[in-house]
This record gives sequence, C-alpha cells and structure tokens, in this order.
Amino acid sequence: MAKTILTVDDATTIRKMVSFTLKGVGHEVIEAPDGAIAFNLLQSRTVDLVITDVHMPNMDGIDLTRRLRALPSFGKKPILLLTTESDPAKKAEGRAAGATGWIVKPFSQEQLLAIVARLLPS
Amino acid sequence: MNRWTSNWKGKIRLGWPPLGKNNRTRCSAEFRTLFVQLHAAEVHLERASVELEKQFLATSTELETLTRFGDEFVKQVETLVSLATGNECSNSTLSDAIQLVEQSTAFLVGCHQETDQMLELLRNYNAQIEHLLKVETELQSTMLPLKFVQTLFKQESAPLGHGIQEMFGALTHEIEELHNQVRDIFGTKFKQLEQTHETIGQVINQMVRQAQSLRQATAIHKAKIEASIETLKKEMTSNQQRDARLGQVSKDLADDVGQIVMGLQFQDIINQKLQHVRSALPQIEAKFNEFEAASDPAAASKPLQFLHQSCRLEAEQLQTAQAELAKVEASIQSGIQKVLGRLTETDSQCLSLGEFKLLTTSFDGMVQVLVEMIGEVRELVAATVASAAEAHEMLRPLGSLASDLTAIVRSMSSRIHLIGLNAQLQAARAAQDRRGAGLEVLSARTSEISEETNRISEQAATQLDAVAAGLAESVKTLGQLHADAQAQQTLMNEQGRTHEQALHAFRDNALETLRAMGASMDDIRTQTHRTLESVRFAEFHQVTLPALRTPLAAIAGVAEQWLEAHGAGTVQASLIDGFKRDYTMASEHRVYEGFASADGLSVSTAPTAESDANREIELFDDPPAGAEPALALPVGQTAETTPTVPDATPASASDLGANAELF
Repeated sequence: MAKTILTVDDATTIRKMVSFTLKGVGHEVIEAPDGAIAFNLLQSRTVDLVITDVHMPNMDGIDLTRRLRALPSFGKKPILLLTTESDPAKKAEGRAAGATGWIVKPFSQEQLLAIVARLLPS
Repeated sequence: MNRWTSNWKGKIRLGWPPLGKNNRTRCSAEFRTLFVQLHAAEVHLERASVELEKQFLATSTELETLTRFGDEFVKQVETLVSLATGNECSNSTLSDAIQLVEQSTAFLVGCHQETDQMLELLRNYNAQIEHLLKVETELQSTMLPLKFVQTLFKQESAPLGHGIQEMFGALTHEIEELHNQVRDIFGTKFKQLEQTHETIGQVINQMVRQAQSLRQATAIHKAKIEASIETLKKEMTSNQQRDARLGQVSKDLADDVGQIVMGLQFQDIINQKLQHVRSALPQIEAKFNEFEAASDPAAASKPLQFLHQSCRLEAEQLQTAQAELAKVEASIQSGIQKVLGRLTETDSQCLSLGEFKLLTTSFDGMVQVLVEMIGEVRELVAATVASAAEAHEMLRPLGSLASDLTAIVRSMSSRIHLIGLNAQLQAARAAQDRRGAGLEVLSARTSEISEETNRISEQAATQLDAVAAGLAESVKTLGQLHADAQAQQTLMNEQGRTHEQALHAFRDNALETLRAMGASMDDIRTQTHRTLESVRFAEFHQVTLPALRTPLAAIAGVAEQWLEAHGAGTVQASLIDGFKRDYTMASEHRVYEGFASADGLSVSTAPTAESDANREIELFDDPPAGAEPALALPVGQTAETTPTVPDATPASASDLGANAELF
C-alpha cells in the first residue's frame, strides 16, 4: 500500500535518489531542503515516515526529530536519519532525540526499501 | 551543507619578519606562492563544486528517464511473453484456438468412423433387399400352379352337387383374390422396394464420395494441427524460459540502477569531505602566520610542524575524495552501460523476435494458419451436417415402407395358409360323399402350394423385418449424427468466430507491442547516450581536486625541509587532534587513522569498525519520547565503516546489509 514519505536533505541529489527509489515502489514522496522547511510543511501535511539528513542549514535533522517528537500530532511515526555521519556521539544524539533508525550514506536501494518496508508494513 | 564557512581567504600576511636567515626568506616566499595557489584552487573549487552538483543532478534526471524507459520496455516484453503463453500455457489464445480445431477435427474423424459403419450396414441392407426382390419370382413360380388348380377345381366340381360346386367356387374365388393381391403387391410395393434399393445405393455412393473428400481434408488438417501443436509447444517452452530470464533481467536491471543510485549519492559525500578540508584551511593559514611571526627558529618549528602534519593529512583526504570520485564515475558509467547491455540482450535473446514474428505476423504464421484452419474446419463440419441431413432425409421413409411390406406379406401368407386349410377341409367333405377323389388330390396340391408359399412369405417377412429394423436404426443413427454435426457446427460458428477475433486481437497486440518495443529500444539507446554524456566528473577529480591537493602537499614538503634543516622533528603528537572532530565520515576516520598511525599519534578516540555504535544503518530499539517500538535488523555481519563506492552487486533482498542498522 502506498505511503507518504518526506525526505529532508540539503543535497538535491540525495533527495532525488530517495524519491526515485521510493516512488519506484509506489510510495508518494515529498521533499524539503532543510529541517525548518520540513517542520513547517509537517504542520499542514500528514506523512507516514520522515527520512532526514543530519547536517542541514537552518534546522538540522536531530533538531527536527526532537521537535517532531514533541508534536502530539506526529505521534510515533518513524523518523530515519540518513547521513554521512559515522560519529557515535551524533548517532546517540539522534537516538535520544527520538529517531527510529540511522542510515549512513550511500544507501543501497535494496536496503532502503527493506527498511521502509519494515517500518511501514502494508 | 556548508557548516564550516571558510573565512581565511585574503588574510595571509604578506610581510615577513626580518629573521636574518636566507633560507627562512626563501621558505617564506615559497609558502606565499603556494598559499596563493591554494587560495586560487579553493576559489575554483567552490565554482567547480556547484558545477559538479549540477552534473550529478543532470545524471540523476537522465537516469530517471532511462529507468522509466527500461521499465516500460520490460513491461512490453512481459506483455509479449504473456500474450504468447497466457498466465498458464494451456489458456493461451493460440492453444485455445488449436484446441477448438483439434476437437472439431476429432469430431470429423469420429463421423468418418460412423459413416464407415453406416455404409457397411447399408450395403448389407441393400444386399438383403436385392435378395427380397427375387422373392417375387419365387412366389410367382410357386403360386403359378394354383391357376391350374383353380380351373381343375371348377372342372372336378362341375358334375357334383350344387353345394359342392358352391364350396369350391368360393375356394377358387379366394385363390383368385390372392392372385390379385399378389399382383398388386408385386406391382406396387415391391416396385417401391426396388426403388428403396436404388435409393440406398445412391445414399451409399453419396456417403462414399463425401467421406472420401472429408477424410482427405481432415487428414490434411490433422497434419497441420499436429505440426502447429508441436511448434506451439516449442514456442511455449521457450517462452517459459524467456519468462524466467525476464524475471532475472528485471532483477539485474534493478541492481544496475541501484549501483548508479549509490554512485550518485557520492556528490553529497564528496561535497561534505571537501567542506571538512576547507574548514581546516583557516587553521593552516593561522599557523603560517604564526610561523612568520616567530622570533626564532625554535618558535617557528611548532607552527611548521602543524603545517606539515595538517597539510599532509588534508592532501590525503583530498586524495581519497579524488580516488572515490574517479571510481564513482567509472561505476556510474559501467552501470549505465550494463543497463543498455541487459536491455539489448533482452531485446535479442528474450524475444527471439524472428521466431515470434513468424508466429504472429508472417503469411504462413501460426495465427494465419489457425484462422484458416478454423474456417476450413467450419466448412467441413457444415458439409458433414449437410451430408448427414441428406442421407437422413433419403433413408427416413424407407424404414416404414419395409414395415408396410412385411405386414402385407404376412397377411398374404396368412391368406394362403387359410386357402390351403379350406381346400383340405373341402376335399375331406367331398371324400365323405365318395364323390370327389379328384378334388381330394387337388386340395392336397393346393395345400402343398400353400405351405410352400407360406414358407417363402414368412422368410421374406422375417428378412423384411430385419431390414426394416436395421433401416430404422440407421435412420436414427443418421439423425443423431446430423444432430451432433449441427451442434458441432453451432460450436464452430460461435467459438470459431470468438477464437478468430481473439487470434486477430492477439496478432494486433503482438504487432503493437513489438512496434512499441522497437521504439522503446531506440529511446533507451538515445537515453543511454544522453545519460553517459551527463557523467562528466573527470575535470573535477583530474584537475580541480589535484589543484587543491598539490599546494597542500607542497606546503607540507617545504615545511618538512625547513624542519629537517633546523633539526626539528616533523611530528608532534596530538598537534592536529582537533581535526578529528571534523572527520565524521567513516572514510575520513580511516584516512586519519592511517595517517596518525604512521606518525605515531594517538587514534584511541576514533571510531572503529568493530564498534557497535558505528554501524551505518541502525534502527533504535528503545526510542525515547514515544517513538516507534523496537525493530531489529540482522546484525551478524561486521560493519563496513567506509562508504564504499558501488562496484559490486548489492546483497540479497533479505539482507539489509552493513549499511543498515535498526536501533
């Protein structure tokens, strides 16, 4: 069943690749170039999953995660951090903020689809 | 993202404190020249990075189009294979049509067998009728003496009393009546029987002719059908193999595209690495300024040690980025070529287009053959219906004639029998009066003739009974054959037309799909070239990155020379440890670890490959603040900490791989 997924990344190529991969299996994908725009967007739109970069201008992915978790309307929806980061401290920070998972770039399409399928069973 | 905003440009102090040593002046001048180069390279890097991102985006866009064309092509191939085989082989358009023709041909073959049996019976009946027709002569010759007996009765009874004369007069009258009846029977009914004989002969001749013609046509169709079935079976087997290959092609295509998708993500990865390198440059510039401000060689050594180490380290980071980008470029190009290669292979191998075209479009193709066969078999069935109807109509009245004749012959036989008995009775009464010895003899003779006539009649009646029953059975069989043939004709008319339409639709679909596939392959080839042309990263990794790396390496070299000339060590432990904070990517860690290890620096704080915390994909199993519940991934493998350039087929679908970790 098609789900709506928000991909947040300041790198257009990454957003395109996430979108390309997920649209390929029928999901609807919306994009935001940073955390602040994503947060504003989520005030008016409902999504099933957020996949966000960590380092971004205006609002980073961890801050976005923290703010979304504070929203009662966002609830327990999964948030994946998709990043070049391998820093354990950063990962722990993401986890503490309420992220559901952590993916280091480059992701393989197969892996991303498998994780999304686990997080969003039809 | 650019979180390490560069702020060192234009801040290099061009003045050099008068330390009084020529080598220091020379060294300073070299540094300045190199820093100018470094600055120029960084300015160029900023522009080139923007250009590189555009090129990556262009490749992404072209890849999406290529993938769409590839998906369309694979769907078209699936459609074609599905057309040929159906979901199940036994339900395909071709095999359904063949089944109809096969069934109708089997029906015709069955008709031939029944016709043969019928002909055998009819020939037999006709032989019996022929024999019955001879009964006429036999009866005539048997009954002929009665004429004389009749005259003699008159003569012998004439001298006798009136009563006797009356008795024998009545007897002779009955004999006369019998003669008249026999004449009537032979004049009408046996004539009709003769005509029946002729009619059956005509039916036999007609059935023989039609059976021969139908048998020949059926034999031709049987041969055609057997050949078609063999071709179809081969085609279906080969289509099933194609179907399996197609599934593999789709998977391989997904893998190839996956390889390209992974490669395209390196724009972001390399961009971040370059930002980390650029964030180190202000510190390098600051150390250079410290060097220039130093009052003596000892004070100058420490900043130069930093310059030496940091420039070497950044040069190595750039070297890694350069190598990664070159590998990514090759990987993306190879992925695109593989996509084209697989689709081309699918086009040629999976379809075996020559075969399929023959099957669907050529004049002698199977569709054409089947459509013609359906038409011809329909005509054959119609001919069978007509033939059965005609034979049925001709034979139907014959059975009742035979029955009528049997009844008449039996009545005649009974009448003769009575005449015989009556003659015996009258002869006995005449004998009692001792006046009719001659009459007694005549009565005995009449009785003998009567018995003989009775025997012949009974025999004829029995034969006629058999013929009548046989003819009635044959009429019934022909009626059934006619009804069956009509039912088959109806089936052929209804299903035949449906199958003809399905076959035409099949051919039209196949032709349209083949045409669309040809167009798709053209699109794919064009798009492949467009996508390949968009992959232009060479200048970046061959010119832009070396332009930045070269002055850094040279600065490290000049610093090393100076330090060696002044007897200072080139390495100072923990001098550049602060850089570690920026090396947040696994590959950067690795470069740093290698560098630090070579220089005997501490690497204890760097993340290691074995560290569970460093798994590259992780789903948190205990997310705070009401996040989703635990999800665990198979983590039995050793995590690969380096974002590897894709050059191999990704792991299987059930394996989330080293890049995936669910907390």
